[in-house]
Amino acid sequence: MKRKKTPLSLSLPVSVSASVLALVIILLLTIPPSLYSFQDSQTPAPGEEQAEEIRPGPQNIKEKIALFVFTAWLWISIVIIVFLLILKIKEADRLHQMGYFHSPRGKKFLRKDTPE
Amino acid sequence: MKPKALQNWFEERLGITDIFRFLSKKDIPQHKHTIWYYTGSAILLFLVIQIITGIMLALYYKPTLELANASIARIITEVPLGWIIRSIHSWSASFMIILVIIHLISIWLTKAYHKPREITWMSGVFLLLISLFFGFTGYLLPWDDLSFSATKVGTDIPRAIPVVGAWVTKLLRGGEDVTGDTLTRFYTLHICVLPICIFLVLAVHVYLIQKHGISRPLSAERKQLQLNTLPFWPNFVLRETVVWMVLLGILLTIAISVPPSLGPAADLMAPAPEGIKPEWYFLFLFQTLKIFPAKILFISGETLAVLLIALALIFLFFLPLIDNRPEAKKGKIITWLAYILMVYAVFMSVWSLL
Repeated sequence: MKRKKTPLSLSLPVSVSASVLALVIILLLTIPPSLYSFQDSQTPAPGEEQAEEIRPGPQNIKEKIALFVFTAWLWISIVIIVFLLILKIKEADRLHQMGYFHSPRGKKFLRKDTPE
Repeated sequence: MKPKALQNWFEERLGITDIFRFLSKKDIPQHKHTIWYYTGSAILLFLVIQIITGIMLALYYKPTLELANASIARIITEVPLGWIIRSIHSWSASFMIILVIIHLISIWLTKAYHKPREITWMSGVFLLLISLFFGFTGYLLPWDDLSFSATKVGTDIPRAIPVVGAWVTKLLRGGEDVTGDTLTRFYTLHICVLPICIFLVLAVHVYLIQKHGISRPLSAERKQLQLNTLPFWPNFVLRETVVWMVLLGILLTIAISVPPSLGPAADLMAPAPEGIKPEWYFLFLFQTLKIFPAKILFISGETLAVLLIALALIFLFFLPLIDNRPEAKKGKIITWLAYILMVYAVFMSVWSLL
């Protein structure tokens, strides 16, 4: 049986992934620029006691860009993984509701080829 | 050796399938409080992150008076990605403590500590105390102005305990004052003693959860309702993985964006700097100690405050024995006490920051 879909309805994985992405964008936008500006780190001279606070961070513009790219890549990967996981969850829930895990075939699936 | 033969070889020796068999039989009750079940595994995730990043930091850290601060400076300025590793270690500690507190409060409010789960609760309180002590010992390790002064204040608090107070302070510091000996002592506690303690208590905690099963809401137990359940494997594990992924993303984003800074090396002779503050999870205790007057009747205010805090801890530890009839009036009062405690902790922490 085919499920009816209204033209504007989104499937659960898409809407959850979109929500996660929206949350990330909001998070990134709400972080004050002063915190996200990656102040250059200061290294104390050899043999000299450091007198001021060291603010760690990327050393140069190349590292700054690399970190932005990494953060973006990280969240895109998370959204894709979450999307795939939600599909798996829906499938696992469907199998559970069908009673598949309690059927002999399902038990075999869960227990692999364990000798009885 | 073929993969199948290799699998059989391990199976005969380790019996891994037994674990899967056990997990496939495990069910998670489904109700409106199911969301709180995710906090337990998230705590474990952050504990693992702490261990991995802690080992990485220990490769470069030198716990001596002369080199402690310089070695952290080297980690965050010279070692490749050292500042990110340190930042992840520091932030995941905060995440872990937030989750431990949420986990504990959720158990308190859902009354999941009643018979036969009293010892599970007590081991949980132990885990909270160990986590806090992890934070306390780790705070000194950068050996900068702020951490040195905060540790001086923190280790001075037990002095207010009658009879054994001075001895406890001396034991913590390894002498009369906070010195290099204190640093070595805290480092040993942080990387050796506390990890052993946390693993032992965690083993008991996890064993008890497996033995008694996941708790069901009080109302369902009372009415003997048959709740819907979800198989732990694969349904619940897949959901937990989603939570882990999102938490990992948030942790990494914050660790990259807001790395903790490092102050100048502590000077034993210098006066205490302005605005000494402990870690955020000790702020409410710090403020509580500050508001007590010097003398109340014949007792020192500090002694009274420390005794009250100790009494609160004893109450928390023995909560399942005190609230042994959660559905009665006493149970409701204890639920309200949890809300009052939460409001008090938030209020005092904010006040301390102002």
